[in-house]
Amino acid sequence: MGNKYSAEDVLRISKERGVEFVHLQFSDIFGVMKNVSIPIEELDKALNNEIMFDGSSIDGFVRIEESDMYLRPDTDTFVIFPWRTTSGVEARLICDIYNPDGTPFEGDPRYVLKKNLEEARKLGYTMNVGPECEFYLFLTDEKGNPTTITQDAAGYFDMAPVDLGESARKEMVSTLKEMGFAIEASHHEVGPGQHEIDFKYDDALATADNVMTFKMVVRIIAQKHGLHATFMPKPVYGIAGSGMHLNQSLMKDGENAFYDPADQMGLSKDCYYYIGGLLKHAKALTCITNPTVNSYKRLVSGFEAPVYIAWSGRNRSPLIRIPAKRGNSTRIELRSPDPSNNPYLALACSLAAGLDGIKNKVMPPQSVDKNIYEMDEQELKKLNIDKLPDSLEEALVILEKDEVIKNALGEHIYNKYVEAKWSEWDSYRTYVTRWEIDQYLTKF
Amino acid sequence: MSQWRIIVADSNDYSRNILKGMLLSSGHLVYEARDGGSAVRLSRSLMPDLVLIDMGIVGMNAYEVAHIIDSDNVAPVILMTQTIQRGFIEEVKNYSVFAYLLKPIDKAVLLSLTEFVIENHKKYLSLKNEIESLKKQIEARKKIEKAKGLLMKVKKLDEDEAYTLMRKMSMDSTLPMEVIAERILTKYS
Repeated sequence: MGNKYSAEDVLRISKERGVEFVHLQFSDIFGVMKNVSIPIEELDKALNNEIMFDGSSIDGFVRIEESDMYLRPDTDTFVIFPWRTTSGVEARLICDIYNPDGTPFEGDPRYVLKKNLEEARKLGYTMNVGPECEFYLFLTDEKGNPTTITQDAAGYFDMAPVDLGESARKEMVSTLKEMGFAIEASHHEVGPGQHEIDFKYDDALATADNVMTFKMVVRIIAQKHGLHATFMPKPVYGIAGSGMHLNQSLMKDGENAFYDPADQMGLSKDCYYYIGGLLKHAKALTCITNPTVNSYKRLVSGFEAPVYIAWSGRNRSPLIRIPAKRGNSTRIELRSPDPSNNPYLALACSLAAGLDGIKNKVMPPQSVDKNIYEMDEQELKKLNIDKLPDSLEEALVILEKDEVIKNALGEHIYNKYVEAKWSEWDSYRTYVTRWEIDQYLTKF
Repeated sequence: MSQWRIIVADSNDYSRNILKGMLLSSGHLVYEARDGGSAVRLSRSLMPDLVLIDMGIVGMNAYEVAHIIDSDNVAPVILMTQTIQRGFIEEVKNYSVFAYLLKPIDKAVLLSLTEFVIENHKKYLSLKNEIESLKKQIEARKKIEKAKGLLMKVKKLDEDEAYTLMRKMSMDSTLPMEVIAERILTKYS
């Protein structure tokens, strides 16, 4: 977020603002935010990297025998929560995770992203990312549990002066602004009860941190409005799913490395190769950017979600779109990711795929400027357009063969991730769903 | 007596109806919520004059509902309880107006307390807003003084000249003095 704090600044500001609790945050391998909360008296200790936690209690981290982990707060991520809690003023710090011997922990997704960004830096690149995050706001029932009924559909107070969803979103935007976010757009989306908030691009690490913070803020503010916010990719059959498009660009020597005014489309060789790399690894990448069983129910035609592995300068239907802006704003938009992914891993793997394209000079196929959904099988075959995986299972099988994405994840995370995702798939595969009961119970 | 828009949040149909009857017969507009979540949603969309919350409400916890509605300045709240449990008074002390009702509810007490809380909450809000704006004024004044001092040093002006210069900059650029002061401070310090 650009506000660089030293440890002294953090201590001073905390004291000035009367902070009582500090949440030390980090992400598990699935992108679920974890918290170690400390009273203000412990902050000094935390800033000296002396706070320890039990790593074996976190999903996908470590075995019992190697469970002591240290948290190293990144002081640049210091933010005081602008909302009032019953326990007073609270702040947070995002942390890196270290082993007791002082080496970074391989299972920390934030470290994985940092490692991949370092790879890029060796080649002279830095990565900027701007996310477009969609989510649904649902009502809670009389027990306080979330439903899939939307405020729009309920419409239970037609004469009410305030639209609940709108006012919740407005408060989300103003809260995020107070926390240092630059909000570019916020609007109601296609589905009833669906919303989108876009914030300004930043370097990849800051953006991944921001996505984590963003999800937390959206959930908290929704709750304060009696609503439940969900980032589930496809919460209701038959209405649009929630995506998290990732606008990506590389910078080299302070210039946008994707821009070349001499090119017919205004795109540099690097940009073409980056697209080439993303398309080449698209299938394995999907396993990371679309990590749940439910993710694949969003990737179907008819709902603005991409299905085919192609790119276009104009059309919005393919996997990669090139927004019209050029110059320093030249970027590519990857349209498959959904907000159930781990932003650290999604960015790390996108970058690795793109860099592989640049390193091996992978030219992408011809861009497709027609609406792919209107093409028939033969046309698709002629243009050699392949599809994204249909299911988590297919994505997993492909990931297991993609050395570039595996390497980007690192051995530790790759193993834990694949193991957990296979068991998720098996549990889904063997579960008897409502659909089956409806279809077969009376028929046979 | 004025007509108020009041939300009654109580999961018990019987006691909610009694309460509703008392308020209706006094000419108020009454809206009902059967659970905590609905109470929050209804309050946010109606922006009522008052929310009555029963401690036994289901779904979201009564304290949480009251805290949200009160601290976000949606409306004043009155908690209703049968017995005063530990911590209850401490909780109510946090709200902008200190008031609660003991069940069973007496109509005369209900009506006078309703009036009391709504009127005092209005006064509370206007005082709060006044303090906010005064705070902002003082902040701005401080900045302007600081910028003036800086300008005097840098440009070797006396106090009046520095102030006149800042006022001229403000008028020329049609920006408030505070913004000009901020710019001077970032430029010269």
